[in-house]
Amino acid sequence: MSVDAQSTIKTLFEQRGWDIFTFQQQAWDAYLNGESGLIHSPTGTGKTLAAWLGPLMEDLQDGTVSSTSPPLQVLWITPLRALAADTEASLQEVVADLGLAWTVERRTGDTSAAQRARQKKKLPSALVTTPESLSLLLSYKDIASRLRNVKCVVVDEWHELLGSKRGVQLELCLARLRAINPTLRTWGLSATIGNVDEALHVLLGNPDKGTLIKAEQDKQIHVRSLVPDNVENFPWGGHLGIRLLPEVIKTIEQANSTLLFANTRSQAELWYESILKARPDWLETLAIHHGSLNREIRDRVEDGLRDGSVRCAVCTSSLDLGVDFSPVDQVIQVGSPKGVARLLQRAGRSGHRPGIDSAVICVPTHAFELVEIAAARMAKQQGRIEQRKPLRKCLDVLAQHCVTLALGSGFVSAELRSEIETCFAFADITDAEWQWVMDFITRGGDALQHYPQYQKVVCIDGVYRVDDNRIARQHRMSIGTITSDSAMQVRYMKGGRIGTIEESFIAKLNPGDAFLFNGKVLSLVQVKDMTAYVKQAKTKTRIVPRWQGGRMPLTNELADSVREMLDPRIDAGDIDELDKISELLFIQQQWSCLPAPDQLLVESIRSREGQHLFIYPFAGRLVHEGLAALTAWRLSQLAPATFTTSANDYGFELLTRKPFTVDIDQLSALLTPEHLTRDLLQGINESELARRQFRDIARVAGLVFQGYPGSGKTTRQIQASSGLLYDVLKKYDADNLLLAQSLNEVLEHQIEHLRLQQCLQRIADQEIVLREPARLTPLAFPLWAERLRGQIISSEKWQDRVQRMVTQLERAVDKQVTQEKANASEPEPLC
Amino acid sequence: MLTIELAGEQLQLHHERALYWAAANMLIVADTHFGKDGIFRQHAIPVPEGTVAHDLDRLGTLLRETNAQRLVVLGDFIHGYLDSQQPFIEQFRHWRREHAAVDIDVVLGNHDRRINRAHYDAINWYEDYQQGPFVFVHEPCHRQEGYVLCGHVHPVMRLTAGRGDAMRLPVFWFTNAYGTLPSFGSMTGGFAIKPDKQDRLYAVGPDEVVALGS
Repeated sequence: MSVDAQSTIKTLFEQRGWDIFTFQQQAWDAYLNGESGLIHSPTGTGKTLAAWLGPLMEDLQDGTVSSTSPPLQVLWITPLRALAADTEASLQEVVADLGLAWTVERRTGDTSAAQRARQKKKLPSALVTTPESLSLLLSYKDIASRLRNVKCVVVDEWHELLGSKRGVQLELCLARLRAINPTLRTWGLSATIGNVDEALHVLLGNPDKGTLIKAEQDKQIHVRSLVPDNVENFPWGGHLGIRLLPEVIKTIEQANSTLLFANTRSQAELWYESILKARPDWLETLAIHHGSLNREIRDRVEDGLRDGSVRCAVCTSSLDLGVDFSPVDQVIQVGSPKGVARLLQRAGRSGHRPGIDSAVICVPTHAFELVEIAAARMAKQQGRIEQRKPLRKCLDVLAQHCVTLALGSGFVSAELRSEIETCFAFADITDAEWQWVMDFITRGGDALQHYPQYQKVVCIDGVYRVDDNRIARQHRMSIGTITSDSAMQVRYMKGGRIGTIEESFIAKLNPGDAFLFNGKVLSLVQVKDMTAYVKQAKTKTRIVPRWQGGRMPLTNELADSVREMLDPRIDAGDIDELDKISELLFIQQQWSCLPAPDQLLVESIRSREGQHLFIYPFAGRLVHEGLAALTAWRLSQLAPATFTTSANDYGFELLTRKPFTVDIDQLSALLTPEHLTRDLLQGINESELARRQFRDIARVAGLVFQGYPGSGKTTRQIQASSGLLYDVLKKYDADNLLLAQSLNEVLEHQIEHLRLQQCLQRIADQEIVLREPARLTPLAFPLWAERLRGQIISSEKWQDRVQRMVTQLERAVDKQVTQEKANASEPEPLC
Repeated sequence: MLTIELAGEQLQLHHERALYWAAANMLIVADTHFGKDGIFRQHAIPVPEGTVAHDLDRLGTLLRETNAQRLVVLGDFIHGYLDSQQPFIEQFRHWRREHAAVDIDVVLGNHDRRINRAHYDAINWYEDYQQGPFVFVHEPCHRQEGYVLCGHVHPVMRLTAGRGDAMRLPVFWFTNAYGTLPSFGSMTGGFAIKPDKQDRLYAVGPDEVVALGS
């Protein structure tokens, strides 16, 4: 039976009441033409169909629509296994509508053993999977013959993977799939990022191929701030803007459905608690959703959003992505979005349909965030969207991949090398590096090193294989690049899983201590077998867990916009947010200085704690962390001292207990771009940044074995902390390339060496303004509070202390403002 | 080195994480975990050789410096079952011959129960061991026979000097019923303890032992 594919599709769209977008037609045509490509749009709609219908149309066109399901044709890669079920359902729906015999299934870490066994006999026509599960699939012996018919790989949310080791892992898997079937087509779906061309190049491993398709959308995105009437004069991180609670509640009331995004899980917990306290009648309709909560709890919330029974979900990036997510009426963003792309993506959660405008309401959690919100709006208007830089030469990921393939059919070194050189990440791998990886997987280190009795991969007659079942099992358990702190299950004594919390947090609690989780105050009863048993707490005093990786740094683009915003030549009257904090800027100006773009402000303040040096390059937190390590190291070379540092997006603080003085000349020497790399490496060594970075690498390269699930004690014999392993390698195999990689990762990604260098070069041309204010200034205060938070666990005590400090400072401000206003009826212009 | 009084006896605390009881001419260490790197390699986890030789050297130096007649290991002497081809077996044999005059008593730890004792000559293995006012065992416990000296815990303390300025150091930890030694092996981690107010704590620095608190 021959069918006209185009008209079938047209009918399908008409039945559903949809229009065919130009970009969809373009994507189908390109696919049918045998091309690969990338489809991108600022906020998503219709991308799934653009990628999915190509292969289906091809099948319709072939004219042999059979009644039995075809063998595996399409691999659909999703970054989150939580999305796999939704994706499977939406792909399935189209297949059913078209009356095709295709089967669609998923295979992720959550897939049952029975399902896996079925798939071992017969793979579906289309398989929805994650990079990790795909990699795992490649470790099975007969896999090449079973993947030979795959015509197309679709990589969903490619921007989420690009720039991470998971992306590198996928690059390697794609190279393998192309080696199995050279005519394979690859299609990526991506949100708009600053480097879509590069994203396409990395996806295909070839700069000359591929079609870039922009999903045109004339969708308007409105960004506005919820501005308080009285901006507090002292912004500090973690204040949560809870004072804006009444306004936020009013905003939620005005819409049928709201997503309230918080930047961290702790913030989400606190907001959920606060809203519920103010509106106990919302108990049934207010929900909380974040990545540490149990899957069933999250599913309930997502279903509730779909069927309208949830009025507002307080969530984190856990709801950034999602297929076919019913649009909500409005999106509220608590705290600075920290990046333009993230803001656009979250805004896109509202009016998630063509032709409907998206809006996002930003709630500043401290006064300076008003600047960031205004800066994000400006960057959006100017189209300055962040890039996602792909990683290069991750030897840890490569080593893991090589072992994975050795587990499967085995490989020949030279063949595999040319295969992986088609990956962007390994295009310029050297002979020495490749040889090191081969040595690493076969004998533990290079030929000169002593790794007796070590054997993982064996090379027999030129073929690299894994012969040992125990090693195979151990490796399969370890496939993947996601490192997480060992997490503990949290369960009720009477049964019922709630989610997971980092072991390090639980370890600090004593039985009876109460903490906030899933919007409830829970009291720890006991810890047993990596499970924290809890019950509802009766007390009101509680601790809020701080999960790792919660804080996001300001992106380069946004940091630039913020600096421009603070330029006194900009007329603040034009921008509502700036207008609101003019008094704050005025205080900063009076007590110290509000730096112009050609100035660098340094504040030296003496307190009971010691000597503080606050430096404000406005270059984003990552650069400031690097600068803090660098300057602390340079200062410590002058005289023995211990510094504690803190950094935020505006600047950094150095504190030493011993008083010291600096002058302008010393400061320029401290911040010189000369000998930057040398000093930075020293500073990194002292600050243990590389040792910490090694955690990731050790896990990916198989140095840290996280154990079999549920087996608990049996693998304890072979567990050592990555820090310990780092020290051992440094001492006994200093040339190990994984150590070099660790240092590189710190330089390039963690403190962004390049950006740091540019920053110091800019500083070299700036005038250094040194001030010695009598007390913490509005700019210094958030930095001071940041360090405090790092140290003290109990949020109650910490808040008390900060609150006292705030009150003290506000009193001083009131006095000053009254005085100034009495002196001059017109405030002086800034700077 | 720091000398303290415990159960009426003078004990020297050494920064190499050892305790010397001069009156009995006895050197006491805990949790040496010898062979740990080898076990890792047996499990296809690439850890280079080197820590063992270093730890044997440290132990040898301590024996020479103190001129101790007896070495007591408070459990987890060997990390686990080692293939007979593991270089440690031969290294240890050689080391044992060098220190043939020293008696070595090992109190069995949880790790020692899975090993091949035939590999290790001239070691006396005990469930527990008693001498003078002390009972030597692996895990902390209360014993009527005397004051307990033990290991197993790998105790460390996090010390802070003002906000943000922190260090994590191995400690000797003495409660009124037992004293826990820091782990001796250089490939061992630590467990952050929560001591009571009346406990005595001594932190091990790079080259000295410091009393914490009063």
